Amino acid sequence: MTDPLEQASDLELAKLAQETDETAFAEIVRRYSPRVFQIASRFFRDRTQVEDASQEIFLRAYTHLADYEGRGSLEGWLTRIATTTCLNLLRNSQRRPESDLAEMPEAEAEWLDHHLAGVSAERHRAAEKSREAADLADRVLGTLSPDDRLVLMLVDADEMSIKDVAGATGWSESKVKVQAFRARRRMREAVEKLLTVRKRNPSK
Amino acid sequence: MKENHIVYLLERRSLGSLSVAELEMVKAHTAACPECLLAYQAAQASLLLLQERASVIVEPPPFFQTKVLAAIREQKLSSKRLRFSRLWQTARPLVASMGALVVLLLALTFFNNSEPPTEPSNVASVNDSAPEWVIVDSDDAGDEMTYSQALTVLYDPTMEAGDADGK
Repeated sequence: MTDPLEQASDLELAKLAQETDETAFAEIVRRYSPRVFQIASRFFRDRTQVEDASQEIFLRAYTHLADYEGRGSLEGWLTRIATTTCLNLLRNSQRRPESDLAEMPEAEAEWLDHHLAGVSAERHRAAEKSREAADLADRVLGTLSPDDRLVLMLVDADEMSIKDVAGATGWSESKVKVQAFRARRRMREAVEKLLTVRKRNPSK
Repeated sequence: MKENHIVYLLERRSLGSLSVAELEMVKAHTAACPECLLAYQAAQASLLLLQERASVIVEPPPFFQTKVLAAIREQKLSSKRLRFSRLWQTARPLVASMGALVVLLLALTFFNNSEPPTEPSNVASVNDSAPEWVIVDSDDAGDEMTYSQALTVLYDPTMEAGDADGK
């Protein structure tokens, strides 16, 4: 026998949860935890951090459930809460100094060397290289501001539209565009520095 | 020298969103300009790094729902505690002053009960020995009443005020 809550629409679930029905909210968590984890994974790498952030997102959603009037989709509403919560958590955490970039592990340096040597994208995306690339990405993104990091992940990595990013962040579309422009420049400059170092000392 | 147009193009839009014609133009320019080549390589590497980073997704653990519900209950409980402590902090001075008042009233009651009761006859005898006071009726300055006469008027209801005056 199927649970009637599983058949309920998002709006029905939200209304039931607003009437402090915990099982309805549990269904919302079940339905949208993959999406929330996906968003939190963009900001945090560590599993515990992602889980803590996701829990915080659902706690906030529960607290502000009365604000959801059913005008937009529940997923959109949760995406916005998730994005702003993660952004705030990231703002509270310490930013990595740029000097840390120079001291990269051998595996990450190798990834850059392969890139400079023009190794194909397929080779780059090989499973063993993927983790190194993600580590290096975290290292570079860690030197950027949380706002830069957010906009790069959403616009460039997830290929979200400017309008959708504006909806998720609460920023204006022009702010998203300007932020993305500046973030790309900062990221490119950071990677350029790394590439220059690798070009000078390829064996290091 | 870097051609601003190429760099501007790389920054204005994601490399992945550039058209084939735009990419051809970038490639043609970078073939002759080493500085722009570095910028292009960096832009390419940035996009690859971002895509690799985006592919890392943490899956929700099996009992995540239960954990969230437990956290919600905990939050509710702590907010109740917080509300009570705020209420207590507001009411504490009032409760303390009310307690002090009750103690004061109890002390006064006890002190009052421990004193011996005063008899009206005793008062009279004490007053007899006291110097004779004169009560003057403000309406008529000529009418004077001694203290003992005044007491008689007060304690003897049968006696008319006019008798006390001798009228």
